[in-house]
Amino acid sequence: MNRSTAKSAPLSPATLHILLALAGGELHGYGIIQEIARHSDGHYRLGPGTLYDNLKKMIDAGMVADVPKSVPPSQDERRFYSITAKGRVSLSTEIDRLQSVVTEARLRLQDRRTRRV
Amino acid sequence: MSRIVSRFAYRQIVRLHPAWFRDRFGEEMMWIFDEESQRGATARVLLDGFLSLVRQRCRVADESTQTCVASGFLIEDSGIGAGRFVQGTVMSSILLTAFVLLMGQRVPNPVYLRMPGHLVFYPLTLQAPPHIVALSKTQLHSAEIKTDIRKDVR
Repeated sequence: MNRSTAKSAPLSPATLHILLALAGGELHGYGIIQEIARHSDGHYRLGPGTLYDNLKKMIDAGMVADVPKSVPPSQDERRFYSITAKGRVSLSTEIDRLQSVVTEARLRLQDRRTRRV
Repeated sequence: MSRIVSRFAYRQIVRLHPAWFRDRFGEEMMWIFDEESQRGATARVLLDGFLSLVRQRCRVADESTQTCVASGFLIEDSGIGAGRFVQGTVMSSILLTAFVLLMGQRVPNPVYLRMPGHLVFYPLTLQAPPHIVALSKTQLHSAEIKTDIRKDVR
């Protein structure tokens, strides 16, 4: 486990999924919900309250940014969100952490199978 | 009908959120609610809105080192003020209860029924026999109706 992984606390499932959804590009609120449902095969679907509560925290933490509107407000009131450089670092740190958990779990399972044989 | 009621309930939940949250995300939350309702996920989104209301009402940035005990929860150093916690819990409980009552209509709505020689307290949700006529309490107390009952009994 590297130093950055050890330092940062694990991300909550909602934060991890939002960052994963935004890693693919800018999305509005409902787009984030749909993308999360898609990449989790429908097993994880955020509600709007949870989504915006987490987005607010992530914007404050500098992991996500509001995308400036390219169209006049009268045409489209929907806000778009994008992942920042800090958000990408947090996401990759979390993925490294999860990877090490998966590696450890696989080793243990393999070890157990070998003992049985 | 139930969609209109649930939309109204959700709008009230959004309105009860703190002003900064409502102003920034309120309209988008309503938009997502409409989209999710079409998928038949109304109850889930309503519950999420209710929990969000409790969370947002409880979060007070400048009271970060308080300990509060309310509604059976012990929260330490969470930034939640006791007053806000109680306020949020009470308000959202009232809203959720009202919504459940409106949507389910499972709580019997008692009405007085006119039966020959009897006064029966009968739940509205049950199917009354055809010879029984439903009357409200105020109607029952009016002298005119009482006269009618006597005539019917005769």
